[in-house]
Formats: sequence, C-alpha cells, structure tokens
Amino acid sequence: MAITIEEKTSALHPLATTALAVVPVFLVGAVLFALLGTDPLEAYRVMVVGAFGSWFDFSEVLVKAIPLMLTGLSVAVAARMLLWNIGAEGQLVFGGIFAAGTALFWAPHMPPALVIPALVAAGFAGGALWALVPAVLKARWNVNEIITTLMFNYVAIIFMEHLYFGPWRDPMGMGFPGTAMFKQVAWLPRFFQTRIHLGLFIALAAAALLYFALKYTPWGYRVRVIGLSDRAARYAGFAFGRQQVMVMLLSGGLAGLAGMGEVCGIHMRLQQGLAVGYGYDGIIIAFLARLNPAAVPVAAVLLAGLIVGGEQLQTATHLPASISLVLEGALLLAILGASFFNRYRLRRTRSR
Amino acid sequence: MENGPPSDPVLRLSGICKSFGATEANRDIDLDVFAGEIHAILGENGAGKSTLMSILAGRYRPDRGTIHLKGRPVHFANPAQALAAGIGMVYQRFMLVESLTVTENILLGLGRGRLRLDMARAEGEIREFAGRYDLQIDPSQTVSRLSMGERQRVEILKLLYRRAQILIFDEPTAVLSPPEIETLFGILRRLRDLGHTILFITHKLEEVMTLATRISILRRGEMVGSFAAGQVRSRRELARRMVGREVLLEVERPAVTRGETVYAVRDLTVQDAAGRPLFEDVALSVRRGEILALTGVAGNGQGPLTAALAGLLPDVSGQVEFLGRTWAASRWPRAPRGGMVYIPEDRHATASVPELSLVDNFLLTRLGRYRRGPLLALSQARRETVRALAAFDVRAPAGPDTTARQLSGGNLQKFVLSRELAGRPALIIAEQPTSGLDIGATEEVWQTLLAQRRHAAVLLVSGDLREVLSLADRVAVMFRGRIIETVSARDPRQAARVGLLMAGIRD
Repeated sequence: MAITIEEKTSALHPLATTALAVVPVFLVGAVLFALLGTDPLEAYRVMVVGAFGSWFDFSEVLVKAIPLMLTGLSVAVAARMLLWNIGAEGQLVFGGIFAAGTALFWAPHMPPALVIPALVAAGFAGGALWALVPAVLKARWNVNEIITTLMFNYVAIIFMEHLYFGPWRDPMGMGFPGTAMFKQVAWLPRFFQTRIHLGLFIALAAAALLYFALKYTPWGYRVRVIGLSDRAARYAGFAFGRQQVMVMLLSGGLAGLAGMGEVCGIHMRLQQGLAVGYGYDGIIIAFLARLNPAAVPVAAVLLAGLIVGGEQLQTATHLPASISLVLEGALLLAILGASFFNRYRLRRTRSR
Repeated sequence: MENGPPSDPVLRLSGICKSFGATEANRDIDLDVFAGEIHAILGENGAGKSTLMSILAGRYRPDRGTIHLKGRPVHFANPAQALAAGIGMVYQRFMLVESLTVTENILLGLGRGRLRLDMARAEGEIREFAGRYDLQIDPSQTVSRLSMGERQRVEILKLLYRRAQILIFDEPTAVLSPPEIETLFGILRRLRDLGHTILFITHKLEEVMTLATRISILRRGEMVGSFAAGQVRSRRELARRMVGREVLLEVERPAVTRGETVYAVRDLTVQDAAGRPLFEDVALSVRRGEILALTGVAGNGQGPLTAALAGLLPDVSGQVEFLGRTWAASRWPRAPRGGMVYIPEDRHATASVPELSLVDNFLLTRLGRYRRGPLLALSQARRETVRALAAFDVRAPAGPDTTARQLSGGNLQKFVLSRELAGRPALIIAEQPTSGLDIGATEEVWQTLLAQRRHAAVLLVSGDLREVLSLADRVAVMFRGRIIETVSARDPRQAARVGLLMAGIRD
C-alpha cells in the first residue's frame, strides 16, 4: 500500500475552504478542553462571550487587532511577491524604538500639531530600516530572507532591552524596566471612551490602500506578476531587485507602525511587553486572509478574539491562557492543510 | 509464456476513457498492437496521444476501459507495475540524473536489495547489453556530458535492462539533430528485428512515412483509424486523416521588398560562470522585409544567444546596432528597445502568467501604454485586448476574463503574438514559435510572421528544419556556440545543406 498525491480538477471557493478549515480547529480545542476536565461547550461560551459579549470586551478585541492587522498586512504584502518576511516581530520592535525616541527626545521641541505625524513617520521608518539589510541581501545576493529576517528579530529585541535597561531607563522608575512615560502630546488619540487608538484607522486605511494599489496601479501589477511568475517578470523587464527591496521596506514599515501604535497608543512608554509575538501572529493572519489585504482586518479581529477569549477563559476557569496559542497553531495548520487539499487529493495505490 | 496465434494482438486496449475535469482526453478508444511492429500514434496536439500512452505505461489510470496484455487483463497502478509487465516509456523530457554516470542511472531505482554495489560488474553487464542492441554508449560516462541522442539511448537501455518488451516513445525526435534522428530510426528498426514492439507518438508526418509499419490516428480524443503503413499513399492523405481537413503543406510566401538593416550584432561573446563560452564571435544582421532564421540542434548556444539578442543576458561583449543606433552589447540590456519584440519559446510561464486573466496578461509587456495618472487604464487595456483576441482569432471561453492557463497551446501563442505585434514592431525575435502546436495553429503563426515582413525584420530562432526552410530567406546555422555558416534558404542546393550544417558538417 502506498499513498500518492494527485492534482484535483475542481476546487472550492477559497473562502469556503478557509471556513471549513476552522471546523477541525474547534474539534481539536474541544478534545483539549475535555482532557483538561472542562466542558468544551462551556469553555467556548466563555471565550465567545468574553471576546464579543459586550462593547467593552469587543473594544479590547479591536485594540488587540490593531497591531495584528498591521503585521498581517506586513507579511501579506511581502508574501504576494514570494518574500517570506518572518521578521515582522523585529520590525515592530524597531518601529516602537523609533517612535519612542521621537516621543522622548524630539516631541517636546516640536510644534504639537506635527508630533503625531512625526511619530507615524518614525514608526514606519524604524520598521523599514530594520527590513533594509535583509532586503538588500536578498535582492543583491539572493540570501534567504526567512533566515535573515528571523535572526534580526532577536537582535532587535536585545537592542530594545539594552535601551530600556540602560541609556533610556526612566531615572525615576525605581528600577522598572522601561523608559519614562511620554508627554501627553505624544499619546495617540483614543476614541469611544475605550483604548481604541488612532492605530485602528491607520491599519484600516493601510489595508484599503494596499488592496487598491495591488489591483489598480502599475506597481501593484508588477508585484502580482513577480509573485506569480518570476520568469514572466524578467521577460517583461521589471526591475526585480529594486521591487524586492521596495516591498520589503513597505513590509517592514507596516510592522513598524504596529510597534508605534503599541508604544504610543497603549503603553505610552517603551517597556517590557512590546515583543509578545504579534509579528508571528501576522503570519497566521496573512495566510488566514489568503494574502488579500482586504481580508486581513477580518482575520486580525478573529485572531484577536481568540486571544482575548483565551485570556477571559483563564480568568473564568483555571485553564491557562496559552490555550489560545494551541488553537492558533492548529488554525494555521488547518488553513495550510485546507489549501493543500483544495488542490490535491491523496490516493491509496496498491503495489505488488 | 504463452503465445497465441500470430494474428492475435500482443496488446489490446478497449473502450479506454480518460477525462481531466471537463476535458475528455480519451473517448472510448480501441487499439490493437501486434508483436514486432513499429506503431505510430499520430495526431495533432491535444489529440490525446500522450494521455493514451501514459495510461499504457501506468502513469494514469483509465476512467473506463480495459487493457489486455497477451490476452490477459492487466491493471497498472504505477509505471513500475507496467514495466514489470514489460511495458516501458521514454518520455520527451528524459528522466536522468545528470551528475550520475550511465551505469548509475540505469541501476537507479532497481533496488535489488544488495548491500554492496559491484559497479565494475554492473558496468560490464551494461556494456554487453548495449553492444547486443548496437546502442553506442559508454556506461562509465557522466550523463551531463552526453548529447541528447546519447541520453535518449540511455533511456532506451534503461528500459531494455529492465526487460521491457514493448517500448513507447513520446515524440522521440523532438530534441535530435537530423543525423541523430537517422541513428534513432536505425536503433528502433533493430529493436523490432530483435522482437520488441515499438509505439511512438508523433505529429510529424515524415517520421510516420519512413518508420512506421502501422499507423493509428487520434483526433480530439477519439481513434480515427488504424491501418498498415502500406495503405497510405501520401503525406497529404495522412495529414487529411489527422486533422480532418485539407491542410496546406507548402507555405505561400508573397514577395516583399527588402528595406534597410534594422538590427545587426558583431563579435557577440559570452561565457558561463566557469569561463566556458556559451557562444562566440557571433555576427548577424537582419533587414526589414526579410526573415533570418537562426537554427541549430538544441544546446549549441542558440538559447543564450537569443536571450542576448533580446537584451535579457548581462555581461555580453560585442556590439549591437538597432534602428541606426549602436550600443556596446553590455549596455544593450538597459537600452531602450522600443520597436523590438521578443516572443519567447516558453509561452506558458514566461510570455504569460497562467493564473492571470488575458487582460492582465495583455499588460505584461505593454504596461507603460496603459496608464492614467498613477493608475492602470484597465478599461482601455480591456478594449484593446478584446480587439486583439478578435484580430488573431484567439478562442477564449470567457473572452478577456479567461485565464491564460485555460487557453490551448495554439490559442495562447496566438494571444502572445496579438500582444507583441499590437505595436507594429520593427524587429521581431520569435523563438520556436510553433513548437508543440498542431498543424492548423502552426500555419496561422507562419502566416502571421510572413505578413509581418511588410513592416518588420524577423529573426526566427527555430530547430525545426521544415519551419526554417519554409519561412526564412536566409539561415544562420549554429554549432558549438558559433554561427558556422549563413546560407540562402531560397536556393535549393544551399538549403539542402542546412541539416548537415546543424550536425557540424560543412561539406
């Protein structure tokens, strides 16, 4: 008995596949809950109510979704050109560092109206800068960007720790690992009496803009062609390397905005707890959205709901919040599996 | 082994059906194959020949129908099972590991469960085997050093070594030079004399006429007929049975006056990473109103030369003159090449993007023309795509929204032509423009290229001798990286030499 892979001739709509992929994830979760001695239905109820049960809970989901949208867009736009940016985490951190530096040392000497635009620009620039070296290495010498971007994450995190444990540490902080709190002028405006901050609208605008640019501009056309067939792109004479660098910078910049949002919209200082894995969550979101920028916000809200629901579960029961990490991992596997099985089928063959 | 009476077929296929999605590749096909014959499976592209033979070789399983081998029903789940039953296939793309020797390739996958391989003994065995079949091959040679003809002989040896009685060939002459084709035909005849049965897929009528003892014709997935070769009187008759309509085999070439020299190169040389020249000291020029063919057996440098001529190869030395301006060849890739179009051989993944619609594919080389401010002028591109599809009679099921993947080879090539010729170019570089196309589509492409002479110079890169001699005014023949001679294709005595020149023989 052997198993062979065969290409299928008919396929479901991508949306249907993604929806179907969620089913086994819930089953895995149910088994897990049962093993931990909790009624699965009750656990799911707590999670759903905890995440979507009230406007306040849902606003917290949206708050969590802001960085996820931006890192999701970051991963998605690069992946459209077959660049695998695993470095959104480090780029997020660098966006945060740049924004914090601007807020701490520059904002007090700046016309107040310019502070927010300067923070946004700094966040984008920080993330883009952190993607620059992997981008150039990839474009010029074809160095594998998966490795370089991943390694850069650790460097970024250690550099950030150096800053808030060392030169940037709040002298009045009684040893607390973090910078001083920013002046209020460098706080991102919040809305609806919740923690929802300007970052939400930046993320939504970025998603709309990317969707539009990919579809209707010559730049987006080139990105799509390069991602689908590098041979066709070379034949058409597209500037391959330059395009790769540009897209990686854009990807890094988007992740940098996520860091800026966390630093200037949530913590109001650079401190421990910035690098909590939003960059890696971006990978799941990008694939959940099938690399479509318009679908990234939806996927980000779903994943944020899962995370917030997991936290609520920890409060309500004695289950660890990391249960949502398990579900996240199962979700990514299920989506990758679903897109595989939408194109291929396995067949048992008899061999003599 | 039981042998029935001589009139019983060694192989009988009945009612074979195979569909891929909505496409019926084989519909209710019956085929009898008799021991010791050379059986040609003739048909246009997409007629279902390869599918049928792949079913026989165990690569596909039929949806319906049965296969009887020597009177007994057989079911093959994979090629290994077919081979164990004595049926083997030589595919168009050879399945050899280039870095291994001939012997290693032949032993590969045999899995005899020995711990130690006695390479010297195996080599001797294979040498003896090759001698018996008169296949001139050195078993200790590395495959990467072998010519295409030699590699094909390795594939044959591989099957014989596994005791295959029935050998199937998928377009075996596609990659061979004319002298190599002669050698192959000799080998096939010898195999038959030694009691093997040969099946070969082709759409070349000449091959069928010279080689086959029996001919089966497929048309659009159905068996049109099966008859002894002696029953066929002319190529024309064969062609009619194959396509179901009268086909012109001679191309009309209306006279066109020659104009100025559009494109010329001198001293073009480029080396690979190891410093070996891919081509050397190449000079050629082409004038408006003429077709210059660049020909040669695959692997003699035409591929890289074509890329260099089209401006897609960096680090070339020499000069390029285009429309009166001269460039160093090293700067040619970045020179503005408006007025030049390049139709690459690979239309499926280079000249088009399979997943994109025809409108999007129309933009590929014309991106600069469809801009409205910072945006793409999509509606204009759509209108012009629709017009181009109509002008070139491209059959696209969903019009401009059809994806390139959905087009057949002939229609895709017509689409690429419609795009590239839309701007009335001054120079057309067309690389193997009809490879893999059926007769109908080939003729349309030929007529299109001939018509372009009115305003363009055409550089035709092709290894198909018939195409070259039918279309070209002059033929430049490449051999081992050099143009060894340029001859007039309109002078029959000169034209007759092209085949020999391709093999490197100058007189």
